[in-house]
Amino acid sequence: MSLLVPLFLAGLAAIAVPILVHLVHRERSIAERFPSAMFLRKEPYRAMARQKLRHLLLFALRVLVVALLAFAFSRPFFTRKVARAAVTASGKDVAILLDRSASMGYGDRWSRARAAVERTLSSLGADDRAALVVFDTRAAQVAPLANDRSAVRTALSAERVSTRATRYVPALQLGKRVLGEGGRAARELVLVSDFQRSGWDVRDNQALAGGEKLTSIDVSGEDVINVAWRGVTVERDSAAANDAVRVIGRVANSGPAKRAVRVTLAIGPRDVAQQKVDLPADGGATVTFAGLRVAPTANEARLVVHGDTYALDDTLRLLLERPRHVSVLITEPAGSADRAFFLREALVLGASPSFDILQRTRSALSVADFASRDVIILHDAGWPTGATGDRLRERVANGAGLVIALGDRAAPDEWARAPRDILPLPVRAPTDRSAGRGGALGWIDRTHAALETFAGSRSGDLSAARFVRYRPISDTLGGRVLARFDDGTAALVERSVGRGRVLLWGGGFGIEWSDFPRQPVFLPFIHEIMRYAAGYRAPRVAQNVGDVVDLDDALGAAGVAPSSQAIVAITPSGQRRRFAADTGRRSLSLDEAGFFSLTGAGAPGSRPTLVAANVDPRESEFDTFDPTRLTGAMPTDVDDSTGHGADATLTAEERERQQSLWWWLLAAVTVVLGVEAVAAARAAGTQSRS
Amino acid sequence: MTGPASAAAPLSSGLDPRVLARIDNLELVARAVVEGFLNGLHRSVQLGFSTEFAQHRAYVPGDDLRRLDWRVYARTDRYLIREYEAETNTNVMVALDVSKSMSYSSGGVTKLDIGRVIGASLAYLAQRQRDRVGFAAFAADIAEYIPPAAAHFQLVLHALGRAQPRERGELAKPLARLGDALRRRGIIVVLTDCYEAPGVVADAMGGLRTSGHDVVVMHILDRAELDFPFDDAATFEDLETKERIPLVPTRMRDRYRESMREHMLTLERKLLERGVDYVTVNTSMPIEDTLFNYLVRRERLRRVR
Repeated sequence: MSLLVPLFLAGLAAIAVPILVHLVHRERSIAERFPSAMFLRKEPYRAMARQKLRHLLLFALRVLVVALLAFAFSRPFFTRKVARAAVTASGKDVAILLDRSASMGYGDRWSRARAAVERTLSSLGADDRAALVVFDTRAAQVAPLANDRSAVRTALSAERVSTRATRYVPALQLGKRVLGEGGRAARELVLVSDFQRSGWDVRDNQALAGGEKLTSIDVSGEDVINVAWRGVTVERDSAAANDAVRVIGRVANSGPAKRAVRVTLAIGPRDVAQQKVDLPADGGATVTFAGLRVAPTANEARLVVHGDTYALDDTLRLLLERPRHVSVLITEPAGSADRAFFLREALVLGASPSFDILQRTRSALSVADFASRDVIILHDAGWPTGATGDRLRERVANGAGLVIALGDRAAPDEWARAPRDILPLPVRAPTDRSAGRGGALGWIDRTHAALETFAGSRSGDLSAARFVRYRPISDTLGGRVLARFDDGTAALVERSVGRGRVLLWGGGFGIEWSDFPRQPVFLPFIHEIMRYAAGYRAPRVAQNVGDVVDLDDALGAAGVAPSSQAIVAITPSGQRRRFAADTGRRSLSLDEAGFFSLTGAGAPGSRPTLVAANVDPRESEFDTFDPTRLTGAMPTDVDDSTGHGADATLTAEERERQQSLWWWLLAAVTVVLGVEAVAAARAAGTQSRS
Repeated sequence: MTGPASAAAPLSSGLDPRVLARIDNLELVARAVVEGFLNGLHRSVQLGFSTEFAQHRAYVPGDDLRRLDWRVYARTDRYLIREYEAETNTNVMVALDVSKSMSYSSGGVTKLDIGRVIGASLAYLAQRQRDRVGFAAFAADIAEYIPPAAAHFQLVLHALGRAQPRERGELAKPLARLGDALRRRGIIVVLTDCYEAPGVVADAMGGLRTSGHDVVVMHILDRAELDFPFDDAATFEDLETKERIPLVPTRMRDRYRESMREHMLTLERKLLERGVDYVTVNTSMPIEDTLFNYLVRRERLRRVR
């Protein structure tokens, strides 16, 4: 038997407490009252009482409780010496962790890594066993722990470099588990890698068990010379006409010398543009391809660096499509001046997306004006009368956004006929704050999708605007309050009508009531509100291997009803994967570089949705870290001298059973305390009766 | 007439002193006690303080024939008339010790409570026999005094009810003053715990006896005073003097009991020498048992005398 925390045995000193209590037994402060001392004679009791242990049973029980507690907290456990002797007598187990991330494809790293594995196998003794674990962002055991080296060699020959990034933690965890299941005391992890810094975080601390050893084999070799794409942005080319786009690629040079490389942009199978780029030593540059006219739907495109030795990160796959617009209809009261000037100008400046603006007076408004609009803005204009109003409600219920700005010209009687689900309460009279400095926005819900862009620091101060008047929106209106004025009244409220979103704004978009339109924050506020009302999502131009695509989301954005249909994904290598309908959220892990093609199974002839997957840019960062840091960051679980090396071969249940003695001791303490309570009660009863 | 042997049979009521002490109405308590032991005797025994036989005298014409002693006539062929002492109603004075030591209790009922109940019971018994009842509470001096009178029964009960333990007690001075206050001879029942030297107690009682009073000392003691059952070493505090004495009870218990027993025997002997009745009252025993035993014994003693 051993003790896990022998320091707690010092608690045995607490036995002195009951000893002192029973020996000293201080004089009771309350005297025994007696009618007369006529027949009593003084006889001091202290001297003799101290010499005698009173209530010996109680005393023994109390000492026992203290001793059991101290022993229990020192966590005694039994070790299996026989079993331990058995495991230490055999050979060692070795788990070879082979890095197959994309960076291992550089130069001759992969061949050196395989050679290192072979050397490791050759160095093992006859009793030793070996297993092979390959890893990138994931880890997999491809050869079981066995004396047979051929299984490892066979698995090794089948392995190829992947396009994923590097993560050491999964490999180390799997390796430790493989060794733990092997049951031998002598265990070794052999890590064969280029030790990319991006794959290791010191917080990924993995403790080694007693008896485990980590050996690092660095195959990174000499300095890296590489040119790689680091990212790409596609935006509308406002300088060009007819919805042209501009592709901006970022390319980096890893190497001690500056380089001049040729880069090309291909859309589909054809190169459409090329440039020569001068790259500084260990630096980067941007490459811009402007004025590109592209198809309305997404097309495969490639940015390629030519003349580089490491080809895996020389191609960046992306999707190019004609920029999406958000069509907006601004409706104003008839006969008034152009109060929508600031609103319109803010929308004109929108780039991602751009806004297609149509402006109408309410009297001239027709159904055709909003039939295909993404967002309808009723800027002080009341609700349309008759069938136009009915069609407008239908349009909103079918998914259009409706923004109602209640400014100075909003006539309450014109809003009285609005459908109750659009505006259930009458428009209220404006609140006049002109007496002081005016009102301001006191609170905004930065967690809401429409306003989350203002959550970051220096993202715009919405409280800077001053409102001398505004129309308070009642909280009883229903819906979600997104912003409040500083007097607590709601300023911006969202309601849902069918599939459409309705936003009510009480401050107006003109300068008659506030200086909000003159504030810099007005522009992003308008853009975010309109994006949200339109349900706009920016297309993802390029993604990385290892990313996960929400298929329902991706196909829903493409207009395919996702949940009712099975989805078929075709990988870059031509594999066909089917995702059944109505199985909850479906997702696809991008496990290779290239273009994934997604189609709904119910619409085989429809144009597929494309996803561009690229090698993780982190794999193009060849900075390494010292493998000894990895070893140093993996502290040993416990000192092997305690015998836990053998325990590591046990299952968790067995280990717990070995150490569960202290629970029994605590149970014994409980029983003894119960007996002590009974004995003490009896003693007290005897005393009180006396 | 039932003899003493049969009269000493155990009573059936056995009223718990702790129960009696919790009843505020002393008259009710006294009635329960007295009627209890009277019912147990089937009202067949002439008990009381007034029916005391004195002597025979020769019959003279005109005497009530009911008072002829026919037994004497049967033995001697002489007509003799039975004469009784104090044929008229007598005074019964209840003197209750209210010194601090009387407040002691080891089991919920203090000695003072028991004294109240006994005093009320005797008063009830006397009033039932149309005797005059008086009351005196004393500690170092007379604390309260109600002269004996036929109409003072309720007053006596009220005074008993409100009697509270006072300061340190004394016997000689208050009893001497009580003797001075009582101009007419009668019966004085002294309820006390007798924490005085036996000679002092006997002298005090002897003074009353010399004045012609019939004196009964009821020595009220708690069971703990008799047995001294304490086990733990502790400091004992005298209720009256506040003197603190550290003790190991187990070591001196026998000595204490012996001292107490000797004290009681001495008291009994000295009091009897002076013609004073001495009765010990254990507060843990049923009160009517105590009263009954005493009254039966008193009757027997009267016959002997």
